Amino acid sequence: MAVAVPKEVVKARENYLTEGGLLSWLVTVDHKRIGVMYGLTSLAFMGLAGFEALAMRIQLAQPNNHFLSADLYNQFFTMHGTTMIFLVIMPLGLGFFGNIAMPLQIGARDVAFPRLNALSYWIFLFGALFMYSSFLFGGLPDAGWFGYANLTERFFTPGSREDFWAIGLLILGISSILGALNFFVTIVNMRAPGMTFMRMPIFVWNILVASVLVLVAFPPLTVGLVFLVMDRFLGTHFYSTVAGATPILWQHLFWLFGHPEVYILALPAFGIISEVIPCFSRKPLFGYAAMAYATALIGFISYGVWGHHMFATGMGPIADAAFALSTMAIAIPTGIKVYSWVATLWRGNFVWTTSFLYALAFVVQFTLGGLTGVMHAQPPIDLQQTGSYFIVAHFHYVLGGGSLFAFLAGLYYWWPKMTGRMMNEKLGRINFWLTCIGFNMTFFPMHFLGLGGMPRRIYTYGAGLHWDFWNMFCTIGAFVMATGILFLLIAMVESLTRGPEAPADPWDGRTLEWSIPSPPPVYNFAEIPHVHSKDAFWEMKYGNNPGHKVPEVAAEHEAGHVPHIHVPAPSMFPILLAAGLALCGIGAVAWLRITLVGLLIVYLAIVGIGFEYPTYGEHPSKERGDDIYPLDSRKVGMWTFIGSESLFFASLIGTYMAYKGRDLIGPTAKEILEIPLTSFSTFVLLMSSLLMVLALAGFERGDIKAGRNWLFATAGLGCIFLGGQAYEFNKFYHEGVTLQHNLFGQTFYTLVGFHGLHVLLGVIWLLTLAFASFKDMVPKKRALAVEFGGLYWHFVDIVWIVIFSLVYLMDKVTGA
Amino acid sequence: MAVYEKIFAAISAAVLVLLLIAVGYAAIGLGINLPSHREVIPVKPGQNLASAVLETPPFNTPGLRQIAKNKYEAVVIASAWSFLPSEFDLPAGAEVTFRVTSADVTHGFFIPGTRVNTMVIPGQISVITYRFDKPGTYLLICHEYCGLLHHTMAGKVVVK
Repeated sequence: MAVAVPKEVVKARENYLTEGGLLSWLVTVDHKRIGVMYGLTSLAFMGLAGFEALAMRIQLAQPNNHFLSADLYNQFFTMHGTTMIFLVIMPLGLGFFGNIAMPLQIGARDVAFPRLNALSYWIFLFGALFMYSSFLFGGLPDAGWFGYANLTERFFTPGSREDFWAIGLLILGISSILGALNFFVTIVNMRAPGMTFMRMPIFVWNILVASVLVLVAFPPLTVGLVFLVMDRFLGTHFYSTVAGATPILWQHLFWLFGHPEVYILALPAFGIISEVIPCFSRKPLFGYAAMAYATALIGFISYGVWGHHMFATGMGPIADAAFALSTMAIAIPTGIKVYSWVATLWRGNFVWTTSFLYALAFVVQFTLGGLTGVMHAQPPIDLQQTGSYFIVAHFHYVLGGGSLFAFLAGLYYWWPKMTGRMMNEKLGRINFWLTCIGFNMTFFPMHFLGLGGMPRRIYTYGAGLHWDFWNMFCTIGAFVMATGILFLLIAMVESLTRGPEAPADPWDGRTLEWSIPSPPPVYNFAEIPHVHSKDAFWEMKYGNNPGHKVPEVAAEHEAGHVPHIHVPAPSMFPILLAAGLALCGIGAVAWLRITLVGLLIVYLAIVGIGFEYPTYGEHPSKERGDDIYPLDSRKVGMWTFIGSESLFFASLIGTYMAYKGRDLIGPTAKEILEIPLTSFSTFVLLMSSLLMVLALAGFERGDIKAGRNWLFATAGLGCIFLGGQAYEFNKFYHEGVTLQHNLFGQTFYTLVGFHGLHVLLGVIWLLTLAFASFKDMVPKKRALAVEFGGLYWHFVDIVWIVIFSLVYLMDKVTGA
Repeated sequence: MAVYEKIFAAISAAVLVLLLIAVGYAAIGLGINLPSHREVIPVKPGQNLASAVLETPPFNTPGLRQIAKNKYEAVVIASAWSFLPSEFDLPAGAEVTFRVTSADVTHGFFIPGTRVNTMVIPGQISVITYRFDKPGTYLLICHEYCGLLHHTMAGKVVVK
C-alpha cells in the first residue's frame, strides 16, 4: 500500500514528551503537552459516554425491557449527551486538535497566552470531574443534556443532581471561553511572517471561526444557567409561570448557545478533513478562497438559526419562516465545503491510509446528516420529525459520522507528528471498517424508527409498535462500533510500544507542521519560517522560489546544535486557579464557606499569574527582525474578552426587555426607579473613566506617584457608584421589591447586580495595581498593565450607559 | 482565483439567490401555519399553574366534543405523566381541533403519521387542527422529556 517512503528519520535530542519528569506535566504551559492532556482526558470521557450509550442500547434492544431502571436510563441519556458534547467532541476539536496542530501550522512557538492555555485545561478537567461527582451524591443529572425548563426547577427535579449539572457547565464554560480567546488572539497575532489570512491552512480558518463562535455563543448559555441556578437556589421565577414568566425563555437562551455550539463541534472537523483530503489526494484543496469565505459565512449565519430547534413551540408563522430561511441559507456554505472536498478528490492520486478512509467516510456520512438536516429545516416536514428518532439519526450522522470520524482521521494523520511513531495500517483498517459498519448499522435505521413514530428519550416502548426489529438491529450495530473503537485503542498501544519511528514528513505534507521533527522539540521551530504562499511547506519543497530551502532540520540536530530559544516557562498558577474554581463549585452545592475559600485562591492565583514574570506588561521578546506582531497580544485579548462579555450583558438586557410589562404584580420600573439619584451615580461612574485616563497617562510618563493617586481616585469613584447602587437596592428592598417578588425584581437586580459585580472586580483590579506600584512592580515600561485594566474599566462604564438608557431613561421618555 | 473557481463561485451564488427566492415565496407567499400560542393561561400572582388551568375555560371541562357535522374540539390537559383525556373516538373524515395545555412542565403532543406535532409549554395553549381521513388506530405520544415516567405518557386516537 502506498504510504510515502519514510525519509531519513531525524530525532531531536529531547522532544516535548521527554523533557522533564511526570510532575512537570502539572505545571506545563507547552501547547503540545496541553493538547495531549486534553486528548487523553477526552478519550477517557468518550469511553464513559460510550459505556452509557451501550447500556442504553441494551435497554432499548427489546420492548418492555428492564435492564436499567427508568431513573438510571434518564441519567444515562442526559450524561451521554452532556459528556459527548462538552467533554469529548468540543475538547477534542479545540483543546486537542487546536492545540497540537494550529500553532505548528501557523509557524508559532506557542499560543498567545500559554498559562491561560494550561488554565483552560485544568478548569476543564476539574469541571468535568465535578459534574460526574454528582454520581456520589444521589445520582447523575437526569433532566436531559438540553435541560429544558421548567422540568429543571427544583419543584420538579429536586435534589442536587441538576445543581451539579448547571454549576458544572458554568465552570466548563469558563474553560471554553478562555481557550477560544487564546486561539483567536494566537491566530490573529502570531502567524509566521508572510502568512496572510488567505495563506493560512483551512484548518486554522476553522479553528479561528470556531473560537469566535465559542466567544459569542457561551454568554447566552451562561446567562441561562445563571437564571436556572437562581431559580433553584434563590427562589426566583425566571422559568416558571407563577410570576408571569415563561419556560420558553430557557429555550431561546439555550438554543442561542446551542446552535452555534453544533458548529463549534463541526468546524474543527471540517478543518481536519480539509487537511487530510488534499494530502492524500496529492492535490491542493479546491477553491481555497471559497472555503475560507464559507467558513466565515457558516459562523456568521449560525447565530441566526436557533429557532429551528423550536418550530413546534408556536413562535408564529413569521418567526418560523425566517428561521427556515436562515437555516436553508446556512446549508449553502456547508454545501460549498462538500463540493470543494469532492472536487479536491476528483482525479486525485490517492494514498489509501486509514486517515484517508475516515475522511472519505466523513464526506459521505456528514452529507447524509446534512441532507436530513435540510429536511427538517422546513417547518412542515419538521412537524413530522421533531421529537422523534429521525432527529436522533440526523445529529448522530453529523456529530458521530461527521465530527467523530473526522477526529479519527485527524488522529491517524497527526499521530506520527505527535508521538514520533507510525500507526499500524492493518490494525487501522480493522478499526475503520468495524467502526464505519457499526456506526451505520446503529444510526441509519433510526431514520426508519423516527418516521415510524418512535419518540426520543424514552426508557422503553410497548410491543406491537413495529419498532422491535430495528431497535435490536441498532443495538447490534452499537456493539460492532464499540469493537471497532476497541481496535483503535489496540492500535494506539501497539504503535506506542512497538511502532516504527516516524520521520518528520511521513505523508509528504503540505503544511508547516511537517517541516519539524516528530515528535517536535519544545520550541517547535528552530527558525520561524517565512511564508510566501498557501501550502507553505509544499512550496518550500517543490516551489520554484530561489533561496527558499527546506529548513535544515537534519544538519542542525545531527550536529548536536540545540538552538538557544526562549520558551514560555512553566507555572503552578493555572492548576491552582482551577482548583480554586473547583472549590467554588463544590461550595455552591455543599457549604458556601468553601466558595469563599475558593474565591480567595482564585484571586491570589490571578495576582500570581499577573506578576509572575518581571517582563509583565512589557512588549514581547524581539526575536524576529520585522515587527510581525502588530498589536500587543494582551490588548487584542482584552478587546476579545470585551466582545464576548458584551453578549453576556446583551442576554441579560434582552431578558429584562422580554419580561418588561409581564409582571403580575407591581411595583415595576415606572413606579420605583429614581432617575435623579441614578443620574448622579452615572455621572460619578463616567467621571471615574476620566480619572482612569489620567492614571494611565501618569504611568506612561513614569510619574508613578501621580498614576497611583489617580488609580485610587478612580477606584474611589467606583466605590461611590457601588454605594449608590447599594442604597438603591436597599431602598427597593424595603419598598417590597425583593429578588423573588416579581419579574421586575428578578430581572432588574440580576442585570444591575451583575454590572455592579463587574464594577467591584474592576475596583479590586485597580487597587491591586495601585498597591503593587508601591512595591515598584508597575514601572513605566509596564504601563501596558494599567492600560488594559483601563480598557476593562471603560467597557464597564459603557455597559452602564446602555443599562441606564434602556432601564431607567427609556421608561421616562416613552412612558412605556 | 483560477477560472474554474470563479465559475464555481458564480454558480454557487446563483443557486443561493434562487433558493432564497424560492424559500421566501413558499414561506411568505404561500403561508405556513403552525401551532399558535396566541392563547395563554392567565395566572393570578402566586397561583399554582395547575389550578389556573382548571379555572380557565375550556380547560375546566376537558374532553372531546362535537361542535358541528364532522367538526370536533378536543380539549386536553397534559400533565406528568398522562393526557386528560387520552383516548379519542372519531368517525373517518372528522376534523378535530386540539387545544392542549400543560399543568406542570413542558410536554409534547405527537400523533405519528399525521402532522399533529407540537410542544405543550406551561402557560401557553397549543392549537392544531387535523382531519382524520383514514380509519385506524393512531398513537398519541408525549415526545418532550418530562421526567421519570415520560415513556409511559401516551394515548390513542381511534378512527372508525
